[in-house]
Amino acid sequence: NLSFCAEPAQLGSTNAAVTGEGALWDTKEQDYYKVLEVDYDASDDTIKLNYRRLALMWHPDKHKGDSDVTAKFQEINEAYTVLSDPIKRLEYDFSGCYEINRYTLREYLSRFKGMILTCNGLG
Amino acid sequence: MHLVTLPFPLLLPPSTPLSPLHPTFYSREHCLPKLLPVLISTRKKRQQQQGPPKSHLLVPVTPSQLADSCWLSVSFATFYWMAAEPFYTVASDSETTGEDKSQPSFPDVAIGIDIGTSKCSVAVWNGHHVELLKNTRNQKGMRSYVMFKDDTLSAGVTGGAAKENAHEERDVLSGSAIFNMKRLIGRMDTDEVVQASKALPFLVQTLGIGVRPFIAALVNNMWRSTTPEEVLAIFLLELKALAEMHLKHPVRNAVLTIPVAFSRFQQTRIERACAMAGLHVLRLMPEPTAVALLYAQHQQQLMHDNMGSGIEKIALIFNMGAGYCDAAVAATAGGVSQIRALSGCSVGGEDILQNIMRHLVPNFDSLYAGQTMDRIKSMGLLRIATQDAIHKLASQDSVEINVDLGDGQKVSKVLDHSEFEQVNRVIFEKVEKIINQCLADAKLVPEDINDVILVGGCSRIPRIRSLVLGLCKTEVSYKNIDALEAAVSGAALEGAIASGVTDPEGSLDLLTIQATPMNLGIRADGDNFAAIIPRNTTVPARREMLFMTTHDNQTEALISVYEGEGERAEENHLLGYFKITGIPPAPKGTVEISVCMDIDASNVLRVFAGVVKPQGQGVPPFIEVRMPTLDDGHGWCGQALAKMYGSKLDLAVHPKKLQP
Repeated sequence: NLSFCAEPAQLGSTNAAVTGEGALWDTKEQDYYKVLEVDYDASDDTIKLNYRRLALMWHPDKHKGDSDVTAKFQEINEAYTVLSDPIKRLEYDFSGCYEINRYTLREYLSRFKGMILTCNGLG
Repeated sequence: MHLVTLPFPLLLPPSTPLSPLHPTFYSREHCLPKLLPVLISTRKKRQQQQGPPKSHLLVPVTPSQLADSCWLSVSFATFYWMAAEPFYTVASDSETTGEDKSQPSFPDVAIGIDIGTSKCSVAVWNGHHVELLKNTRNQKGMRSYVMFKDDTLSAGVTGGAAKENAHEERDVLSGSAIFNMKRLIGRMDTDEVVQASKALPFLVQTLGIGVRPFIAALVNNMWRSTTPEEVLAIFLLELKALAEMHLKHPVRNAVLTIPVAFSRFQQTRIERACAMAGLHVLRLMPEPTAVALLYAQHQQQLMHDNMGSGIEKIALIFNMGAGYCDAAVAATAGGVSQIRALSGCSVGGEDILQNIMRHLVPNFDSLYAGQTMDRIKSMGLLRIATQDAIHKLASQDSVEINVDLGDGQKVSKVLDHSEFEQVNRVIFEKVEKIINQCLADAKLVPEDINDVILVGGCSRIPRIRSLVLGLCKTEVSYKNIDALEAAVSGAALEGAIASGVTDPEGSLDLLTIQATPMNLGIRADGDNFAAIIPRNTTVPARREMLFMTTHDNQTEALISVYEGEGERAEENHLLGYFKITGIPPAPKGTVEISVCMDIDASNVLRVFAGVVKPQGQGVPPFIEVRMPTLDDGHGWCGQALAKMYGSKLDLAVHPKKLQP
């Protein structure tokens, strides 16, 4: 669980260089556990609970649509999308990146069928 | 909220009397004095700063004047603003200084509006709870239509107001009223929903070439043309006036509910209609998500002690009205409702009604092919009788239909449940598909669902109830929600939350975390569709994807943005397109282009695109485009682009992003 990629993804670094505008294109690799303010071995319930807590705090609805808050909440969403899905989380833990959502549903199901069956109800 | 929302009336075709470009507009200048209070109401209010709002700020207008005088007030405001020196500034508080913001002279709470295909309702957070507003006829659900008569227009909110003028259902079906706006808005004439709308009493004319259909209402034996946006705007004006009358202060912001199946293009049409009516859209909420918010509030009240203990409840919300059918799966805990999956399609009570009408009158299409006066009348009679029968079937085993359609045509029939279900089999299959897709997308099995919430007019149909409950493997639906008031109540709650209202008792410590109902992506790898933000992604969201050139020395690339479920680009809705130019010449596949999509809290979609490899001074700047950019006629834009450019400007998905 503790091994995640320290190396920034190629995409993020190039983007920051191209636009040179931190706020708009600052996609330097985030540690999703830090974003969600949880430990690396946090349980699914803890992750879910913390996501809700952060959502109530950072959702733009609670800030009259402030754009900085939107970016922050987008990050929280991204982190939760990965960490709330057992398969994406595992992949992220190993490689520091996840690409599950690039698969079609069929590929996804056939590849991770066993895992989904065991994990159902947790995510 | 901004002044820029006002010029929309100028976009009305000059042929309409509502347009400032129309000659009659000037001849109505005598109206000006009585309109001024409308224009200056906001200004006066700002000067007063403190104290309760004054009721005299509202202009008393007779119902017949209401529609067009309000229209003119919007148009005049635009007019004076467009002329360099504004006569009266209709500025909004949000654009003024911070002190104004902190001390509004009236609580600037967005109202919630549910514009149904058949009925509309409006609700507002009154400081303690959500209150549904009633019209002068004591109705909470107001029939959605606009009646065209000579020079006056009146919408279903007042329904002709005075008793002697009150519109009966047969008046609405006389061809003089436009209804079902929600089925027509933002659709092209090749759309099957538009084709089905030809069986309505007013005129819907199509050319089948992917342009906006021609619609018209019967006024003094003449078809007078209008547009769904205009009709909706007139309706919203009456609704706004009703809300202002109740609240005794001007209303500016609104949260509207929309079907899940609405494309982003259709959403812009709703926003435009709102702008014409002087309403700023704070949020457009898919209907079931508004219900989810209401459910979250219920759960929070019920389990106040358990708050934060992580007890999560999963609800499946099924909504079926006259025009659309939607489903959502929401996970709710501690007042936060997270939308896990959304699905929807344009199937509703109108389709059921038309199926039964065609069943009762087998030669329906040939009989009603030409819209003559007696045909319209006859069809109106058939519609009323059929509607009545469907309503009765909700509580009876069978229903007898006897109606004289004139010209020797008579319908005399007993309709029972099995026949009703047989005739509408296709509709029930679609409902089943919607529910199954929603469960699959949420990665849930029926046993995971704690509550099944059925809302919308069609949720009263026994077969629909049993079908949805059966699919969710449960016997009973959630009880504490009113099927017809849930969506508008949720919209009013969201209106209060998004307006920054807090409740000391904590009943507004709520949140809906929305998800995208459809895939968003671009055309790539030939004619394929590459989804950048897949459906059911939590919003606000920001995702990017890498693409590469497909030809040697390719200096330009076309980014065509689509929304939808199809695997091929052309099966989806085209939202807009733009070119990346000045790409440094290089062998194919070596230039990398990043396309990033960003959806903010107000659901605005922005697309950023540019060259990320090679880097340096020789590459063009990124491009940011707010979508959709297309106006009418997008039906054939995709084809025109393909014809013009072929595969010359194509991109392919970068394989690097496909291998984890």
